[in-house]
Amino acid sequence: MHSMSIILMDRKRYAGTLGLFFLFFLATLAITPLIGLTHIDLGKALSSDIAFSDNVDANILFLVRIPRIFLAALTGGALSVAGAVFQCLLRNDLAAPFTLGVSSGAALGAVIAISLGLSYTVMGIPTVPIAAFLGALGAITLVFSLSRTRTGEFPTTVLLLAGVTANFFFAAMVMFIHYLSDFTQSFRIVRWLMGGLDITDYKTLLSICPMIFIGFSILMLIGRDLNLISTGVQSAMSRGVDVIKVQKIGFVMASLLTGTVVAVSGPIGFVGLIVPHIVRLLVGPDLRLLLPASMFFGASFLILCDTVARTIIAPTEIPVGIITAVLGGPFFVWLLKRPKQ
Amino acid sequence: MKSPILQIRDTSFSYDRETVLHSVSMDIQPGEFVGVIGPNGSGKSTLLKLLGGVLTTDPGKLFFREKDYKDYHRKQMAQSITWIPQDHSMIFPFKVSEIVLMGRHPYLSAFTFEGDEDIEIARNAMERTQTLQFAQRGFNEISGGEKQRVVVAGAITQEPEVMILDEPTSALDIKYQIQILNILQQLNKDEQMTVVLAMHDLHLASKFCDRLVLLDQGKIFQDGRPEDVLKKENIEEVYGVKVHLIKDHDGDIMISPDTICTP
Repeated sequence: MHSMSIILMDRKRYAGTLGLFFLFFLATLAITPLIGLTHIDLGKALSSDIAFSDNVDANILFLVRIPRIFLAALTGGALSVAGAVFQCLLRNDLAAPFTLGVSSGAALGAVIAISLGLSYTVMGIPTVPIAAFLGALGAITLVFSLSRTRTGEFPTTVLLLAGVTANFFFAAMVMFIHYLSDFTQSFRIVRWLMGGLDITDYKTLLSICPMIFIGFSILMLIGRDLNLISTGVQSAMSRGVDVIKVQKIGFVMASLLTGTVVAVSGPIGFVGLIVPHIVRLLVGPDLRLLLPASMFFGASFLILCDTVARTIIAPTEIPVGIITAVLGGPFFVWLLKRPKQ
Repeated sequence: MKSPILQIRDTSFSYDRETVLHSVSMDIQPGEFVGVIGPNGSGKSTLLKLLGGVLTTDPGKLFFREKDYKDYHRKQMAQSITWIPQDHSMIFPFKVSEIVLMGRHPYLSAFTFEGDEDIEIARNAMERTQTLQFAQRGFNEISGGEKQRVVVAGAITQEPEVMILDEPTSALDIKYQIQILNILQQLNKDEQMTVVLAMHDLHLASKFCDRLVLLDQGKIFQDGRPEDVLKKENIEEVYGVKVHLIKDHDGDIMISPDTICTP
């Protein structure tokens, strides 16, 4: 009678669900470039009769809006995937790059690189993202070792306190470096710390793609191992998971994702907390589906937030971090207060 | 004499500075149904975790089919031995069927989905444990007794030769206790599954187990047939209470306190 009913994740349904998320992402990608203070005539923008340098519509579309939207997509996707992985590895659904202090660790790394006067890439090596990655990795190592109990659990209160501590510490270090830096550096730091998607170009976008691709692909490969770890470390071991190895890979790759996008967009909060929750409600907690779905949904989510940030009090554009925080703050309180089973 | 399936040799174990096992040695034969009993804190959980391979110790201490645990690959080990924890708290809303299918992990390579064969194995395991009817429910929505059966279904899905369970019945009412023990007994009888479990209920232990290992402060106090281990003097010394023994009509031993008020 129930013979077929336990089949839950056949390939067809998997592809179908993921396809819907992808379509939603494509729709956001198609519509949002046309929304903004200046109306863009798509026909004119795509017309080849006008020289590109004279074509205002094309300039706004291709040089301002599209790179910004792609950056929002990469940032939102990467932070969401990182959030889902942190939540799973720490077996705590309040974990996210921002609440754990991983974003601010990445920020410290990036600020150190900026204050040393390093340009974004040195001989093709993206130095600021690498510094941010190392900062993120340092932060998660700190929080992990501070909050793990003897039995290998991560109680919410301890985890959040460790995150707050890390946030304070890294913020203080950033302030210290900022205080010591000269005027030009100081301006670069402030501009970047506000978190924003408006200062980008295709070169920067291309430079962060490989790191995001690597981080995401490797996390997908350990999806089933991560599922098991999220049910408990020791039972995962008993099912044949090499827990220490998977934890290391997971933390390093989630830090790589966080560091890479924080280096470009600045610390944008709450995306990595909100998105995995919403997606988990829609598709369930299996990381093999949750990760790619969060990637697409996170991308769309940040694009939409940024569209609001660009237009809500136009002509002034506000940093997208304000929008995500306004949504994320109450969401976080709800997560803390909601009745537990 | 058959060769033992599990061996633990002269093993001590400590968490930080607190030693919880003192040079424990025992052999378990294939197809045995072994109950580990003893007061709280006597080292039952630690012993089972070592046997289950979820706590690690020095080489030369633990052997599966006379080969050191350290010489097995993790997944290889998981195809032979499974360990089931006492507590099944789940943070994320996995479905019952998803939890059961996780038992297939040691048979699958990176990023693959469970195939038809895996699903069939999981379905059979759920049928045997009477959990199929709530396969699509959330694991967190079902009762404690149902959870325990689901976790056992997951362990069956892992197709091990040895099943190690840490107090599978302690949090359950009598109906569910008997249900779980019957499932385990059936696996033991039908498939010669070796079962090692920790228990608190000495009567049920004597009823279901072929062999009991009585632990006291991290040492094996006595190891043998239930009627030899569950002696008045053993219980009184290890548990520190005055008792008398009663036999039920199957000849299994029940323990009753001498007085309700013990010092």
